[in-house]
Amino acid sequence: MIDVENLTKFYGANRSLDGVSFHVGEGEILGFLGPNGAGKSTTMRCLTGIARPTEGSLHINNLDVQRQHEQLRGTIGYLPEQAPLYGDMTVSSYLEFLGGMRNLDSRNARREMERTTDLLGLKNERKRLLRNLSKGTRQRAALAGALVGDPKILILDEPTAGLDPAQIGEVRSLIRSLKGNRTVILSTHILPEVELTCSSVVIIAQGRIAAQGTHDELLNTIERELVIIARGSESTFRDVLRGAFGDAVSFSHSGDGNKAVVPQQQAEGKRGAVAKAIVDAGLELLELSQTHATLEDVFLRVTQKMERGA
Amino acid sequence: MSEFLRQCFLVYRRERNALLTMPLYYVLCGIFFLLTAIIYLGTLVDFSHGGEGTTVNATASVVRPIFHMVHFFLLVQIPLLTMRVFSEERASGMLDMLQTTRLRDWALLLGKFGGTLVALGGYLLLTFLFPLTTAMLGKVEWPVVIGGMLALLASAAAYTAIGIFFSSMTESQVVAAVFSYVALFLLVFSQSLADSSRVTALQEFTRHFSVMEHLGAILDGNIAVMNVAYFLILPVSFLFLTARALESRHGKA
Repeated sequence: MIDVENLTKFYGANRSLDGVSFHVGEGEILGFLGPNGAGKSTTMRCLTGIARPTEGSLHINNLDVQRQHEQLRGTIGYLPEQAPLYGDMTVSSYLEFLGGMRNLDSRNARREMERTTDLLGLKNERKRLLRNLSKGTRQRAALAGALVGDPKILILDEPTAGLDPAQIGEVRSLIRSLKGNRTVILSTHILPEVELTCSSVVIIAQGRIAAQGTHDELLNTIERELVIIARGSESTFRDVLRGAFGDAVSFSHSGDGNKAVVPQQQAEGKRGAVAKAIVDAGLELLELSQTHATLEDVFLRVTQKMERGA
Repeated sequence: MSEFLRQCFLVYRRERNALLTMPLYYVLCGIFFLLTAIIYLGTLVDFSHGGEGTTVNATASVVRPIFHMVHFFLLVQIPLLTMRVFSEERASGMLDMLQTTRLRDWALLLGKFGGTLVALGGYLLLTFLFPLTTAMLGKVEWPVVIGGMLALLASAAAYTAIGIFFSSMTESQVVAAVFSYVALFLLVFSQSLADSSRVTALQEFTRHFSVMEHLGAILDGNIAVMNVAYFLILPVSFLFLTARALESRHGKA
């Protein structure tokens, strides 16, 4: 559906993208993650044909985005990071105008306006001027604009920027509901948004791909750990755990207790025995838990690794 | 209706409505109409009293000076009204977003040009009150008046095309307005500047390009092919240049 190969983009002497490659299958929702300035928006702009890559190729539905851009026009719903709107138009006239730009006749443009405003909870705002709306409502109007004409491909750059938590939840549900019917690339730096919405993830940092895969694949790159916290003699605590795990254990302090962290691989099948040994040694066991890697852990690890490597 | 014409119409309607809801449009039109009305009344009083420099011909004595005045005011106000046409959309990213839709460059351009010109046409229509009032008080040569109105509309079209061209070149509305003023100044006053240089070849050369040479001729009732062609070629050339500027933006961001 969407194939990006070795995408490189220079702005003057600055390399904004460096050999970015990824694939998005039909009906997939791809989360495009990265810190600010990582190259997310530039990738989105190249995908929509607005920016021209210095090197590399982009194909959507087997059509070359640069050479066959004319055939792709109108098939992509695009929401830029700074959503542009005509402030002097009402929500309804703006959406109907965009319908016209996507070759809908006036009746269908009106129908699309009604559908998208209903979808984004803008029914009561239809007759209001866009410049008089709150930032969140404007963002929803811009998102409605991207959905006008029911494009099969949606490229959404920070779609929940400026929304309140309730509205963010609604937009996430909306994007999730598109899964299977639409191919969506969702650029964001809000990690829970990706965890809750996307089927696969690309993490970009400093213009390069830092990691990519499904949610589970990325989480599996981070090893889980067993965390043990106990109150009592520090030397006894260390002796007990060294006896169980050898040098694989690392120690620190947590509040008024001693803390030890063991890679999950080393701790496999030993949890019960370790708990008993701690209690038998006269220590007060406060916590024995297994950590769960989050996308945030993956994100921080790969982006920091990229920064250290730079 | 074809997709292209439909797009033209939608952009035209948007652009016209955008101008007609802009306070600046009413402020400029109001001020210049008021100034024209005051000058007109002064000229009319002179004419009715057979004042110094007036003749019995109301067209030459009253209407033509008013046409020149309206033309001068068009020169002042058009860059202020056209500076935002593309600059604003370049700066906001709307131009980029429209590039992902099926909107053709020429539909965008003609729609914007038409919308701006129609809004200016409203102002010109208002100035038609002056020859109408004059006709009630004296004899007016209608062919000359109609020719003059069309010449004003043609010059408004040319200046609008020039203003839109500079607006398409920059994200800054101020820069667009300044360049438009410089270009219009050169077009309008090049003849006077060349005349003051006393270089015959330069005078001859600038005569072909000077707006005043061709506009003056039409306002005098001389609707020659050269004069009409000038007011056709000028806007069409700048519309083509703007289309090229829009085309060159594709995928260049």
